[in-house]
Amino acid sequence: MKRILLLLMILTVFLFSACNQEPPLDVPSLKSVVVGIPQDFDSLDPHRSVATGTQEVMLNLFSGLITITLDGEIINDLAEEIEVSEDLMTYTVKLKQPVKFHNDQAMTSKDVAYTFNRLNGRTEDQPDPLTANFNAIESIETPDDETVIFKMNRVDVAFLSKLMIAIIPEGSGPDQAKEPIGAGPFKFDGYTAGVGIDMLRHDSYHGTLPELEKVEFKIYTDANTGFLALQVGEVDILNLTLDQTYSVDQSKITVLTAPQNMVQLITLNFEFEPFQNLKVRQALNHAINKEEIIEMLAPGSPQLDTNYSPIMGYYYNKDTEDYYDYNPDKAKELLKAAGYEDLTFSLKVPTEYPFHVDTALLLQAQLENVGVNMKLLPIEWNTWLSEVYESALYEASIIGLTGKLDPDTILNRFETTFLRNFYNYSNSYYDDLIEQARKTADPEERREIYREAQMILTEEAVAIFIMDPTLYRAVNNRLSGLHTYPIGFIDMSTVKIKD
Amino acid sequence: MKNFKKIAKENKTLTIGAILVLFLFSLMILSFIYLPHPPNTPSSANQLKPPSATFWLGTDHLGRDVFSRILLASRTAFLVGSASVVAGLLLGVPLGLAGGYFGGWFDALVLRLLDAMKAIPSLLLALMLISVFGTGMSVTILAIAVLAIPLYARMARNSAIQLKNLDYIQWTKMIGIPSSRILFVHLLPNLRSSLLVTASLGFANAVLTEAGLSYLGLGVQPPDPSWGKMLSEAQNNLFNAPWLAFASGLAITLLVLGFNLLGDGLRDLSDLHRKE
Repeated sequence: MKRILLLLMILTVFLFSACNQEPPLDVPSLKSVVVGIPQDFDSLDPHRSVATGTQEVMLNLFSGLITITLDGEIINDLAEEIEVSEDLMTYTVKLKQPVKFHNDQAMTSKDVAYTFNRLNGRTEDQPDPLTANFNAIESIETPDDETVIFKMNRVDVAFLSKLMIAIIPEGSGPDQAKEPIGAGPFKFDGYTAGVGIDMLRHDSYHGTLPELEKVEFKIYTDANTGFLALQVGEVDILNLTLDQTYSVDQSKITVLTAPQNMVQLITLNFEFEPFQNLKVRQALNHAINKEEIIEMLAPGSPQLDTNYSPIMGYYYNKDTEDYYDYNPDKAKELLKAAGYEDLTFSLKVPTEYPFHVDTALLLQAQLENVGVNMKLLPIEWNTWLSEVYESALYEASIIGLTGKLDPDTILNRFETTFLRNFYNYSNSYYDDLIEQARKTADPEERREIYREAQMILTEEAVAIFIMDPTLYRAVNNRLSGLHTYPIGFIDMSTVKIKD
Repeated sequence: MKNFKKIAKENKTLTIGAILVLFLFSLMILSFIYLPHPPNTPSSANQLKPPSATFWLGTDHLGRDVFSRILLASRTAFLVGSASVVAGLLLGVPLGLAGGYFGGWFDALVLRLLDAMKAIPSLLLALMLISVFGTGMSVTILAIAVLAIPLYARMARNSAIQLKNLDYIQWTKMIGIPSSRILFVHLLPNLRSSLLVTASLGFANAVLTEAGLSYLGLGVQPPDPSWGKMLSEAQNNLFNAPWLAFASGLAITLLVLGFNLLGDGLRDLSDLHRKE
């Protein structure tokens, strides 16, 4: 009894101390926002970090030669002008002036050269390459403070999109992991492992000065804790699960849908005889009610009929949209015409991804309506990688293909010679198109080629493309101006606090 | 019959346990005869419906009837429990009996083997088996069955050591009855009541382990339901559809509680007999 009393007393003390917590003293003076993130950073060094979760935060600290618009178009950032030679072997970059790093040092071509040499392991403080992404650079010349010339050793069509990499001041490499310095809209103001990172506004930022003066990124590894913090207003911005969005207090919080630039699709193995028949593939596309799947599993996601997310509006071919309407009767007719009225096939689904499993379950029920018997073969992720992705030992499977900035890295997945062409698709015309795009310097022309390639994937019903599954991002109603990008990036520079 | 009533009155634990187990057992039987809705068919019209006259326990995130799924999943629970009991009785008991009875190097070997198995936490051992043989119903059953062996073997070994020095066993030895006959005809019947208790507790353990494995996504594979898996799915909907967690959680709790109470009750009963 005594113990119970003691326990009650302690609990009461906790309760009251919680109620009387004083507000932190430094808050009222600064315009400040707290963002909840689900995991710690793999590295603060922008050239060493590979995690998307780190990137989406750290992009606030850094600027690259280029950046992207909301629909995925590449535009200049630290570069004033980029001139590409006809043979795609020389890139001449005129730098924007003046640009100041967080340490008030002015940016020159030396810093740019240092950045790329460091990435390629050609500086004194970095003798080994940090990535293979830039190994097409043969040499870098800096004729004056404002000009950088990249000489290439081979054509790398995605090179332009890779120039988004963070530019850092000369010689700062070894310190980046402890105290990152860049030229982004915010500057580093402290990091505690497992707790989060603080940023302050970079007052001499070269672009539009952000309204926010302070941003805290706080780590919530437990989704429920983060959600509670959002509900009580301790956190202003947080990614939610679909189920959490149902219980959000809408008077205080708005839920935005954030694209992932991913393509969720049912891959059809062309080695499996029925799938060699175009009518069968078309029938499957007509048999599936994508709208219903999206409505049930990820409302707000864009529906797809090709291997490209509409989020990348600049390259996306809008004509592919709704190419296959939901039409079970037509599906049955097509199956009959193809001679596969009682088609049976198996679908290997990685069980670690409940989202794909749920999609597969819905598919199974929908296909049953047109007399197609789809058997589920749940397998674990590693088995999926070895059996499906590497060896193509399967009939059909379901997966999400993550998109990149450059269309080549998205559409080359269906090239005959692609290393992981696990659908065994082969179309020489398509291959030619992709190859031709690689040699085309003109962005408009290149875009047209990629749009045609997307249309081929649709017309040929190469797979059953379903959707770009959306993320749900909750924003406190006191804020406005948060945009979502086709890459992982929580851009705080445009966020404003409503009066 | 009178005796039965008397037991029921005096041994409340046993009664409640038996009622719970019988209730869930009859649900399991019911699942073979009647399911209110198709348990594995998604329905967009019925997503996350709260409990109602049509859906007694509501529906899940894919619009499937939770009650039907609970019913169907009870088969898994009983199958896994029974498998572990059968494995324990068929493999564990003879091993323990022989070890305890013969002693010597054989006993030492059995004992070390059991110690080794006990040294690894049971869930970890199951995880190891699953990662070697892959996920699936049969592997789960195998893993849980293997886990049950030490419990039974230990119990049988202890009893055998106690019993082998009793006069009547010594007598049977002297008049030349073969060891196998002594073990199974003369020793084994003495273990009846403790085996019953062990089996009952072991059953509950097996159900709990399966629920744990399925919760982690390693046991029963979709679309087939399992209470553990349903519980893990329900976790995502804790705020907006609490009935999901309630239904599967309650099913697990009731079955495990039922078998534990039954085991305790049986133990009380056998202690009582011994006293009399």
